[in-house]
Amino acid sequence: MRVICTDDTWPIDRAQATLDRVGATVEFAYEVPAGEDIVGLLTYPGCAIDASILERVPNLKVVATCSGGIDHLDVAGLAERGVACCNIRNFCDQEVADHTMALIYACLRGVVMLDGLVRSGSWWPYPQPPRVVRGARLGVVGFGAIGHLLVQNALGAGMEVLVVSQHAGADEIAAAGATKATLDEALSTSDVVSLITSVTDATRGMISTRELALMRSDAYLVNTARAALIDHEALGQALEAGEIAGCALDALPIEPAPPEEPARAWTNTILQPHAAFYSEASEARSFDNPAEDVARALAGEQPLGLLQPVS
Amino acid sequence: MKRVVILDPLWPLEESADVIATLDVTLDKAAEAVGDDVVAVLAAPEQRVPADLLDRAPNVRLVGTCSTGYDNLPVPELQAQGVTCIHVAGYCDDEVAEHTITLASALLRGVHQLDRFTREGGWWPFPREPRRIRGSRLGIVGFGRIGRLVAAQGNVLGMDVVAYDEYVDEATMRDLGVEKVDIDTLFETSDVVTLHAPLLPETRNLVNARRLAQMRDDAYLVNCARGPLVDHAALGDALIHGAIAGAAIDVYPVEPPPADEPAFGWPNLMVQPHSAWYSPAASLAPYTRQIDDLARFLRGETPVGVIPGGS
Repeated sequence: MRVICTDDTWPIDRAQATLDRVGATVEFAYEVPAGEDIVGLLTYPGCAIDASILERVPNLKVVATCSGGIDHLDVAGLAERGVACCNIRNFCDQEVADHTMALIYACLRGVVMLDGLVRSGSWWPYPQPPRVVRGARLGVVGFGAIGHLLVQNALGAGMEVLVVSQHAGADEIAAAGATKATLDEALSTSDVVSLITSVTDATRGMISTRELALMRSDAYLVNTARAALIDHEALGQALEAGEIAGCALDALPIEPAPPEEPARAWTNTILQPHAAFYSEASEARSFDNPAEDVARALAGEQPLGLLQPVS
Repeated sequence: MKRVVILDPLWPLEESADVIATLDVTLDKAAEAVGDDVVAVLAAPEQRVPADLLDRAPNVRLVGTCSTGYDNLPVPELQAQGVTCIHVAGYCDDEVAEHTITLASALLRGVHQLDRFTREGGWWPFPREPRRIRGSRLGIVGFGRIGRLVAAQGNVLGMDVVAYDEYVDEATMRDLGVEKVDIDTLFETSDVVTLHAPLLPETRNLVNARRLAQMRDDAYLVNCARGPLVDHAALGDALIHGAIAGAAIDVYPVEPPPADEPAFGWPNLMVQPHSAWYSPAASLAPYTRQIDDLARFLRGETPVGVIPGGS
């Protein structure tokens, strides 16, 4: 039995140690090769996989991704052909919530831009004046595990928090100390709007020209979820036109970002290399948990991160 | 008529027009206080008031600085000559605490360096690995009003907060969720050391080569207090040789820093334009509060911002 890993940063030795117990060998390949002995895939968000892969690997049993996001996997199509898909859940919730809070602070206090301005000779008056965090309004879009933790961070910093959620009711959100709002309410009244929701047909491109125009001209947009939530062309235009004050992006349309990525030239933009998930501990979990799930699936056990197909 | 000399040419007197109209003095923006008619002198924080002020303006009875720190005033010399010295405390406590926690979280999460790395075309692996904020130890040097607010913010983010202040007892700190430690322990064990002490003869170069050597090589230093609390050259050495992981400074030995400021060439350093105090509300408060205090003094009342020590 062979397992193919399509991510060249994966610690293959650790995966092999896990898969030894089911007698499978792991090898790296950018493109999944043809082979009847290939039964599992270890993959990542940069590698899209749907049922057409079964033309090359007809005996595939399990696909496990080292991410929480699953928009690169056709879970329903694969499930129909008997392939289990697994993601990793809650492996970096605290890291993402804390990185998001660090970016919210950095936007409102202007620290990244001020660093560049001081180096180029600016002093006073500040070209990027810091704002007070206490009492500022944060609109959190998405109320999953990370959204809950982010709300706690923001409330602790004295922010007023609105939550936009399709699933959580007003009572549940109030119990967390926040206020349920529509997307338009959150966009039009918040100092900072933070996206922390998954990409679905309902959320893809949810922040575009109309939504950016609703935002206050002194507001910031923070995205530590997925780039596909935002129409990036519209975002670039909104920044250039001064329709919003700035943004912080941990996710870009193409990752790794190619040299021609236009966001590098945007003003008042903090760019992060998809780093919100990271800590030494979360990174280890992100690779160890999928390998464990492939081993479980091959042994006939229930994987921890098994995804239920949604049609 | 008696004169009040305002040394700061940018002092927004129009913000206090109503109060000024009630004063039986002229407010004179001048570079120097000279003359028998001068009864008070108000300075900006970067303006040093000379100890021999009364040789040229013998009738001065009030000297003020529109800042919290009053290291720019020769307080003992002035008080010995019967001059009341005033400063403005507490107008920007939230701002400084928020800016401090912004810089601490940005350092731990690598926000600033990762932004630069992404702009230069980098993606993965990260040159600066984000660390967990939760559980990191925040060491606060100086447990006054701002130090306590920083402690509260650190506790919200789940940090392990310790503090050193010889004038604050263990129980007071414990009540605020902070462990009192000696200064050696603070420097040796903290992930982030942050300074919130006034600049006094005994705190000058508080962070010297020995203290920097005590710090962990993965630790960060934040200084939003006063530049001379840190031996600037020793900090440069520590950064260049990797004795500490990085630093963020809002203050310098000379402000504004000269174009050839060596800090701009040091690695792993965030620089800020003495902006921690700033918010739109806080930007006017020191001026209007100081004029209010001037009015109190001229009416024969005790100003609220009297610096202790005089008779």
